[in-house]
Amino acid sequence: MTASPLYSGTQVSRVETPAAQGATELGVDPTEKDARGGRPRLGVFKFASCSGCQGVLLSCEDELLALADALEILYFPEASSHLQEEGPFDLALVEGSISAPEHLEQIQKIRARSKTLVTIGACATSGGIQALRNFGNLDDFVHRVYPRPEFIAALATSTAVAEHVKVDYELRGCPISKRQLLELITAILLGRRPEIRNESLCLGCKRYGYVCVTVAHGLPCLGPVTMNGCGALCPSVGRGCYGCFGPKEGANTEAMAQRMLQLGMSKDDVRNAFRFITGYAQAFREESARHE
Amino acid sequence: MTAPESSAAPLYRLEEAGLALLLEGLRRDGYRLVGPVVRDGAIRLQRIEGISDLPRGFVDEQAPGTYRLRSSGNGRLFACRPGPQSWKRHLFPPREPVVQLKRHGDSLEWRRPVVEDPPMAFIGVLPCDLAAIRIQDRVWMEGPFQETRYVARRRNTFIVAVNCLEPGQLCFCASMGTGPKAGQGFDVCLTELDGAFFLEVGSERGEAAVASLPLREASEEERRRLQESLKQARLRMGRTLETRGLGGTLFGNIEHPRWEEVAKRCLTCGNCTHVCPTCFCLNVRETGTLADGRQDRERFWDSCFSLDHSMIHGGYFRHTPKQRYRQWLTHKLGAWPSQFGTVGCTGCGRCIAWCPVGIDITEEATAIRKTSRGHVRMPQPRSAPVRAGDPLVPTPAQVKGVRQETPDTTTLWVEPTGPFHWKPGQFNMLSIPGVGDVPISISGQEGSGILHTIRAVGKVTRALTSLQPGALLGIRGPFGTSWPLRAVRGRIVTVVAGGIGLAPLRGAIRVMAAHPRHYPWVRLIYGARTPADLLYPEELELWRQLLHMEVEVTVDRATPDWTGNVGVVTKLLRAGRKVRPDGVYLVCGPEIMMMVVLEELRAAGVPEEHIYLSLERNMKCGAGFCGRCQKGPFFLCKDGPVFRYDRISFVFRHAGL
Amino acid sequence: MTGNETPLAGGNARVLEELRRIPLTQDLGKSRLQRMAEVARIEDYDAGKVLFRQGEPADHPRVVLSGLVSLVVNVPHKGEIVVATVSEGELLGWSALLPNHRWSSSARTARATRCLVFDGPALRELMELDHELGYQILRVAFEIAASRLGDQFLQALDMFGYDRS
Ligand SMILES: Cc1cc2nc3c(=O)[nH]c(=O)nc-3n(C[C@H](O)[C@H](O)[C@H](O)COP(=O)(O)OP(=O)(O)OC[C@H]3O[C@@H](n4cnc5c(N)ncnc54)[C@H](O)[C@@H]3O)c2cc1C
Ligand code: SF4
Ligand code: SF4
Ligand code: SF4
Ligand code: SF4
Repeated sequence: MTASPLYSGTQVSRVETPAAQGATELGVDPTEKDARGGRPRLGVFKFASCSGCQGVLLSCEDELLALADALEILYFPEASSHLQEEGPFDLALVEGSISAPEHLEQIQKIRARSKTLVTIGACATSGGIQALRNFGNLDDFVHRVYPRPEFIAALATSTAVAEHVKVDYELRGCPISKRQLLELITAILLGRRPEIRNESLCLGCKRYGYVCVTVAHGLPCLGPVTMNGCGALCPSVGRGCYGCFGPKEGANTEAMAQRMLQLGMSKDDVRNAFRFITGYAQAFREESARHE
Repeated sequence: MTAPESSAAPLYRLEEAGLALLLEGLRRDGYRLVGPVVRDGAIRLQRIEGISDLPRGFVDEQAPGTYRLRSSGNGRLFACRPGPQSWKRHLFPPREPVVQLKRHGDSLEWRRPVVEDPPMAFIGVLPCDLAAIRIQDRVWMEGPFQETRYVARRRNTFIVAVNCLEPGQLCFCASMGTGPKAGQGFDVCLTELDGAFFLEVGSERGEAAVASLPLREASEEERRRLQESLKQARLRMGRTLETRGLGGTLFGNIEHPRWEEVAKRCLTCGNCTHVCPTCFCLNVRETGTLADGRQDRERFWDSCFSLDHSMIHGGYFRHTPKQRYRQWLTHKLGAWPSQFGTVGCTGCGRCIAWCPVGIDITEEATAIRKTSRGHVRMPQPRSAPVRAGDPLVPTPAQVKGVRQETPDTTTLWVEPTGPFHWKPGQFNMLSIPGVGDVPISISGQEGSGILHTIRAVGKVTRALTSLQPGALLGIRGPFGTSWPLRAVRGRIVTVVAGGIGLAPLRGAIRVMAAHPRHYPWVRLIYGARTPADLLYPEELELWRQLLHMEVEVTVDRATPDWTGNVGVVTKLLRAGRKVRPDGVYLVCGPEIMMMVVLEELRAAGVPEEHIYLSLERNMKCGAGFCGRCQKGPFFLCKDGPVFRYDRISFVFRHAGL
Repeated sequence: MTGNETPLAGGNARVLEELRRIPLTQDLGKSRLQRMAEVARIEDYDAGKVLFRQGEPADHPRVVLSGLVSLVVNVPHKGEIVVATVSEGELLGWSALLPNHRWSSSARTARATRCLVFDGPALRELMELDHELGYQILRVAFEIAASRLGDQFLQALDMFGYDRS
């Protein structure tokens, strides 16, 4: 049999369709990069947060060199004073929660200028520890904490970025994991699916070979309902998980809470355990409300 | 599985000093000793230097969701029952590189990383765990492929088993036929009794290891006491499980309300699967980062409790906790015998202790048995000859040509390295370095090259469909079953295809089109979303002109210039004439389409054995290792993807399997 | 009727022939078939012929004997959409079996098509007078309507949108 002319060695011109356009992930479609003649552009933005997650990015010293080669860093105030806020950005990393009135507009702008928007850290993905105020009355907090409360312009709630704009990927954690950050950036640049698993922390615990603190020591641990990614730091030192990575998909917080009560926690303790670093994430928020 | 207890195998008495010598001897022979050690309040299985590392004086107390070590009040070395770890972490480590990519200029080479671990000697393998190792042997070594890394380690592993005289609260090995006396597979087996060890030898390697030990033949009295103690142990199991016909009962109760009930308690955390000594599911990921510039692949433990396990593009087959718990239990106790000729549970009790909420597999299975609403017959296991090579390592292939079929679908014309033999219906795993690898059917052959028609839906398929002529990719395969072209000769054949489902069928249609003498009457019914989504329009036209073929096409959504049928394939199936009950039907398309087609065929009285389907599930290996493509007792990669419907109808009917 | 009507004389035998063949009437006895034949005729249409329009009173039910008919719905802002096609052997316009109905879609031939056309009022009267005949016709019509509903629901799922195949 000879080769069919249907499959000639030359490329048949490609038809542009919505599906095909979706394929222009950074780096996958070389033509797209060529047209602009540059490396994918990165912006790193910060809202209400402690900068710890950006710190993780900065701490990727060796890898950062490779990243700097692969990416053009347009905006990263913590790392450089040469800032191009206008973008446009191929990849935007957003840290922090939406907490002040001006954030509302800023985040819309960032979204509009960015092709792929990634939220990083517990603040950006759940509202963060500062979202504890969402459960109470803001004025009370402000008056108790600040000497001149009238200078404090804050929204009544601290919320996740995804409640305001479309988010393409999330990196959970307080702070985020370096491995996941490098994996995400690499995956976006190479056009592969980031291997960031939405599974329980327990699976991580077991792969590392740690002994379960709930079963062997009777300690409450949020691991079964918390997303894996931190490296099972707390169980590795004999502590229960605090839930920094937020709820895993389909978290059965009700059964978890039952077990915590059984292990001797009070209703208040259970409520406070869920109402912590990622306490405003939906599953945890709803569970803590059940223990008011 | 248990060896007869009255066996007259030689039994020796060995004092503790002798045991120390045995371990020393093994070490001298180059074995790394691995054994139980007390750490973090539990028994872990890790490297030991000698008997001083063993958990002398410890015993465990276990209950659902609870595990405590306490003093045993005696000096026994092996009083502890299974702990949170099992030997699988040493034979099948939680993470392991499986493929390394080397680039030589323009060419690619994928390599299998060499296992460099020294040989291991497992000290103190409990009978249930010995059985677990033999169960995993079947998964990794007995075909159709071998997991080369496991094989390398396993062949070099020396096993010192220990019989159980004090079963725990969660043990039910007697029910499972795996204990309390060790079955086959050990090199040396010990029973710790009255401050000494009674030793049996199970292999030549074991014989050599004990040759220079100070052994004395056990007395008749000692032998009798040992038998008696084992008999007592058998009666003291903390749990029991009735296994007779359990598989058929579980699969006969797929819609039992108990699944909902347990799902309310289950956290879908997956602890049970990761502590289980027989669970083997795995996932594969690309490990390279920009920084290291590598494009290697590693596999890691995965669990059917993770959502990703059942993912295909656009959805999940098991998204609810009920479906996931049901997968676990029906696999362990129900499907396993059909897959591997042995049940998948050894009765070690780990999943009960280490479940954070104490869900008890024996209790759940018993609850279903007691209120059973039906029973099905489970299929017999089928053995396959072992195929050579490492199925996870791709070989390079080159893209000879590219053809855009539809806006989102492209056919790659690919030249594999060396001769490549395949049958219509089979698939390859196609790899793009650094991006991933996915199952794609072989849709035809042109010259020495093969064709793959790929719809760009996600990352890997997009990368594949962007390849240009000359590009290199990796191929693993061919895998899976094929369409029954021989069996349908001379029959009235109706092919029903939907969307990209025509690709896996095209090879078969080409054969039937070319051989009217064997296939005198072939009808193709093909549905797609829109006219622009129809695959192979020229070829459809060619087939339509053949005297022995009829080709009918329909679309879901018409465009103004479309003058053909609008509607779904079932409409064409019944239009104009009655569905022929004596015909054979080859069907491939979205699962919902196949379900509707099957209903139409059932209503028309077509027997199930005249219908063949090709199914789709998540797949990471293609070789029967990753566990992700299971549909009840079947692996799509080796028992499928093409199935005769009567074989799978009892599971196909149920969503979430 | 504006189709090319076949002369009734020789036509009656051909109509009978067709009635025996099509699923709608094939199980009827001889005398009932004869009566049905009296209220039916065969018509041929070129491609592109509009057979009825959405919203108009449903008068004559048809059965497609050969060719293909598109059911077209006019969607405001989107124009005409072909929602289904009716092919050989299928009933076209089952709402005309019921009194006082209007067409829920328009019908236009997709290619040259031959239909068996029933005189709606006459057929309904026949069905009224002979309930057994009426029952048989409605039963078959109902089966057809039910499976078409099933098809439509599958179509609405847009099953090719995401799944493979
Ligand atoms: C036996 C078999 C034959 C197939 N033949 C073809 C074919 O001829 N043409 C074609 O276009 N498609 C075929 N598919 C479907 C194809 O494998 C998926 O579309 C592809 O895996 C999607 O990968 P992705 O990375 O592009 O998508 P993503 O959504 O990014 O998926 C990520 C990962 O999930 C897994 N995954 C997702 N969807 C599927 C799926 N449908 N099946 C298996 N694993 C999946 C893969 O591991 C994949 O890498 C076949 C699937 C099977 C099981
Ligand atoms: S310690 Fe916590 S995270 Fe680890 S297995 Fe136990 S419950 Fe899960
Ligand atoms: S299913 Fe449970 S009891 Fe059975 S082998 Fe696995 S962990 Fe042990
Ligand atoms: S599918 Fe089976 S082997 Fe895989 S994790 Fe689940 S129970 Fe274990
Ligand atoms: S049965 Fe227990 S261990 Fe298994 S997933 Fe459910 S809660 Fe976790």
